[in-house]
Amino acid sequence: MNSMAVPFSFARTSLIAGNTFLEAVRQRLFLFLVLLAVALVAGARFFHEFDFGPDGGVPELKFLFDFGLGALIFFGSTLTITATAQLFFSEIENRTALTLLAKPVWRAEFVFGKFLGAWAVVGVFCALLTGLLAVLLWFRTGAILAANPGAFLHGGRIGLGDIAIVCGLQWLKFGVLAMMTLLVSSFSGTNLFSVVMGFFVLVICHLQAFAHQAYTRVEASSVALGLMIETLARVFPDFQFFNLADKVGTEAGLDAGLALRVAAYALAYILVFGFLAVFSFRRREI
Amino acid sequence: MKFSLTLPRSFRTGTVVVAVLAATGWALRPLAEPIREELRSAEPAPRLGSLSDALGQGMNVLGGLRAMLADFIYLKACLDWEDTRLDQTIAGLRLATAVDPSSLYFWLNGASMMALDMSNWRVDAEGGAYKVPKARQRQIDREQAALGLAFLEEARRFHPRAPTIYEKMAFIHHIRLRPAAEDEAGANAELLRAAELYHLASTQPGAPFYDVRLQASLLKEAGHFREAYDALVKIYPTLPKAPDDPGYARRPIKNPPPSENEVMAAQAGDVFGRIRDLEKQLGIAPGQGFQP
Repeated sequence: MNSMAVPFSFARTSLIAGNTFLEAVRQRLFLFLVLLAVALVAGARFFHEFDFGPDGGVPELKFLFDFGLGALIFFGSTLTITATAQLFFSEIENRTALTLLAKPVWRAEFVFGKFLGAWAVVGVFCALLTGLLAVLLWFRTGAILAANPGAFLHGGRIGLGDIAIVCGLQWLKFGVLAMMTLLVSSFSGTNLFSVVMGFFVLVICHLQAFAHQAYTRVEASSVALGLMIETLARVFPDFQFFNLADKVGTEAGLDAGLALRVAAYALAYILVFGFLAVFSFRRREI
Repeated sequence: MKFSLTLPRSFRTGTVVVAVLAATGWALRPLAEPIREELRSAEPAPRLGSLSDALGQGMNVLGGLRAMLADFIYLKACLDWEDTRLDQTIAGLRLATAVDPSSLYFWLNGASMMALDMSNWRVDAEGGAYKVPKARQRQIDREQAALGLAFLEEARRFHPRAPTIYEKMAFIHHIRLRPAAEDEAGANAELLRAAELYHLASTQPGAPFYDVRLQASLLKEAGHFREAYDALVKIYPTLPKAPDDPGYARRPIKNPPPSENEVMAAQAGDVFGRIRDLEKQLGIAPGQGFQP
């Protein structure tokens, strides 16, 4: 049946997303990564023993925040790439995609459904770790203040709102990463290729800031060369935009306007990568 | 044989994907550029000047866990320091601070290693303090002090309001550069520079009370009695004299009152004594001087 005979349906998309979500949370990989990340964040206080900074006060909170965010970013990236690729390929390998797409279901519905399901799983992961990190920091802030009421007189206190914004931006970054993984999966032949490419893309996107700076340093001998260099620097999104964690606890603090603009940047890329994934997947023979 | 100019489908798809992404990058410029500029202005630009700097920031690729990673790199630098491996120690310190510039500990200890310890290593490597001519030793001291001060200047970009950085700079000028000066005027200039840096430290939030005492002490040593006197007279009213001192103005919170430790650290009695000593040296008559 031609899927174009029926209009695009958000209901069908959400149905696919719901099933993808359920499938993902039942996976052992998800539970394993959640457990590891939770253990790491919960144990951050003990890892502070390895830190050279002084106990108590701003450095300790900064270490805990950095450590917790590090766990969220590392395991979140791993979860996003592996879960997205696995959830996509499981449909292809189990031939359920054939059955599904034989029905009046748009390939766009399939791609966006898979994305939303995977992104929701990563969202649960992020929410869990953010909550845990917030509780940990709140508890330590209280303890530090009890011991030294003037500990945060000159700043350095990490607000719960700031934690939520920084972790929320990471979730948006994972959204872009998930869509990029889906784009790779839409033409890749194996799950492994998608996962490896997903990690490569992650590294490339994080290095965009350096690439951009390096390109701008090159003195282009002609306008055409300059244009080409500039274009190359703009093919991948810049993941350093999402690293606003360094602003947390500083005097200037986190700029909510900046965070909103970064969020808009992420949503724009999610849509573009989504449409490209659909474009590529439409041409794929299953 | 028949040739076809039709491109493979995968190539066409790939071309479309790259073209759309490039177009998206261009279209998002008005959104992305201000973000990039804002992030760049708030934080020092990526330091790609040396391999270790670039490598350190490259390690930030996956974000987070930087503090832990930097701790291990610093630990390795300390092992190199124990074995007096100069190049490796510097490289390790640079790498640790590139990975996690937020740790003041790395900057301060790293600067001490560069400015104070390494000049001794270099003198030892050239035959020891008895063999190496004094002029050459002074030159090495100045070179290493310059390295440590440059390291602290870099730290100041990340911690512009940390009094400890100014204190460390002052210490290097006082302890290392002053004895390494070519002549008396040079030595005096280093002393005054150290006093100026202690003054800068004392104006930073959370600065310890002793910064002004050190400033005044160095000014006095350089023969600048009036400046030393003014500095002490200015600081004295803000020092806590007792745990329930109502005039304690230094800390902007009302409760709790200054602790015993703070009162001891302030050494208001000692400061008062120094004020009276300076009044004698300045020839200020009793009763005409400072009245608390």
